[in-house]
Amino acid sequence: MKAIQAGVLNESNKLLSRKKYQVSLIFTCLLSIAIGLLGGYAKGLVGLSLTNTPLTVLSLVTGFILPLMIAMVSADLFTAEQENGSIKAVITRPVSRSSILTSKVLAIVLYTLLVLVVSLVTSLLYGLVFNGLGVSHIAEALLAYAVSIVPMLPITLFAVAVSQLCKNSSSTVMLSVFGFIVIFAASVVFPRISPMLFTSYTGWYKLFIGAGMPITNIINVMALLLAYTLIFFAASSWAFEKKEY
Amino acid sequence: MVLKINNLSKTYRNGRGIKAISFQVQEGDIYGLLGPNGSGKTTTMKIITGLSRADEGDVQIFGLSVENDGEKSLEQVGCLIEAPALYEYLSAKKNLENAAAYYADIKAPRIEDILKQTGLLQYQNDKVKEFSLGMKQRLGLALALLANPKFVILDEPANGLDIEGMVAIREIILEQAKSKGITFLISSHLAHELELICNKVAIMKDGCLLKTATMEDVIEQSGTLENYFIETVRSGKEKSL
Repeated sequence: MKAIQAGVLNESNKLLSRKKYQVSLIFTCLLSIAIGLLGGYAKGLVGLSLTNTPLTVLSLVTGFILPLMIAMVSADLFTAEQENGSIKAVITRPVSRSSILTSKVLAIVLYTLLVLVVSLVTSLLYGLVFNGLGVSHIAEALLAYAVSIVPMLPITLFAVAVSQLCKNSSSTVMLSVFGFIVIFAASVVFPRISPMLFTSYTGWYKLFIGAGMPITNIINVMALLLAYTLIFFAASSWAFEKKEY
Repeated sequence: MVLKINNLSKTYRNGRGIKAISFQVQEGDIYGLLGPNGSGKTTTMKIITGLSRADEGDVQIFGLSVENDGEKSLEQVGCLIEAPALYEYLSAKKNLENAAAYYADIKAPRIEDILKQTGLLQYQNDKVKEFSLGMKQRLGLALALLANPKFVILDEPANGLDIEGMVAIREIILEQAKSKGITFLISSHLAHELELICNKVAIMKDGCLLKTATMEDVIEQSGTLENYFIETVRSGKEKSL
C-alpha cells in the first residue's frame, strides 16, 4: 500500500511538473470561460445554455477534452517511459509491477479529477458572476461533476490497455483516440448496441439531474462501466506484468 | 553468496541471446563481465534485475529467486542498466527524491550525501535535460547507490564518457566498495577499465560465458586482461573448429 501511495505521489508530481499538463489546465480554464461567453452571445442557440454554463462545459469536457487528455497522459506515463527507458527507474526498485501499474492509473484518475475541478470552479464562477446562477444550479453542477469521473474510468483503462500494445507514445494517443471514435461511431451507426458500449455514457451525469433519478438505470450503467473498467484493468495488468524492457 | 546464476538462457526472436550462463558473485567482490557489444552482458543483467525474463535457468540474489520472490529479491540491490533511467524534465534532486519515496528510511540528508559523493550537489536543482552525458551517468550511479544497497549492478558505467568522466566513475565505485563494502557486478567492453577495478572477471562472447578467473590469475597468466580476453576468445575458436 505504501508503494502505491509513493507511486501515486511520484507520478502526479511528474505530470504536474510538465509544462504541457500545466498548459492543459490553463486551457481548460480558458475553455470554460470561452463557452460561458459564447453562451451569452448565442443565447441558447447551437446547444449552448446561457443559464447553466457548468453543465455546458461539462458535456464538452467529458465528451472530447478528457478522452484526449487521458490518451495523452497514458501515452506519457506508459509508452513514452518505455520508449526512453525511464520506466526502469521504478521497475528496478523493490516495487511490484501491479503496484506500479495501479499508481500510474490512479495518477491519471487524479489528473482527470483535477481537470474536472478546474472546469467546475471556472464555469461556476463565470455562471455566478455573469449569469446569476441559483443555489439549485450550483448543487446540480456539483453533483454532475462529481459523478462524471465514473464514465472516465473505463476510458482511462482503455487508454492504458492501448498503451501496453504500442511502442511509441504518438501511436498510443492516435490508437486510443481512434479506438474511442470507432466505438462511439459504432454506437451511432448501430443504435441497438449503444447501451452496451462504455463510450455512450460520457454524459451519464444527465441521469442525476432533473426531477427524478432513474435508480435502476443508474445501477445498470454503473455495473456496465465497472465491468469495462475491470476488464481493461485485467488486460493491462496482464500485459504490463509480461513486458520486458 | 550475493549472486548465484545457474544455467541462464534466453533467445530473442532474431536468434541472439545468452546460452547456459552460470557464475557466482561473493560478498565484497567487484566482479567484471567483459565482452564485446552483443555478447550478452546486458541481457544477463536485465534478467538479474527483473527487467527481462530467462527462458531457462535461475537467478538468486542473497538467496532469493528473482523469478519467484520478485521485488523482495531487489531490496538490497541498486542498478544502472544501459543508459541511466532519468526523468529529464525533473531536477537531479527530484529524480533522487522520487526514487527515495520507495524506501522508508531514505530521507533528505541521504539525498544530499549521495549528491555530494557523486559531485552533483551544486547542480541538484538543475533539470537533467541540461546535464552532460558524464553528469547523467553520475546521477545514474547516485540513483543506484541511493538506498544503501549491498549489491550494485552497473552495465557499461563508463559508456560514452571522456577520460575524466571514466576516472570519476571508477573512483566512486572503488570508494563505495572500500568504505561501505558494497559488492559490484560491472559489465564493460573495455578490458583496461575492468582491470583497474575488478578482483574477478568473466569473459563473454556471442552469448556464452567462456571463462571466469580472479584478476590475480589473469595478470599472472597473461600480463593484462586484454591479452587474457584475446587468448580466451582464440582458444574458444580453436576448440570450436
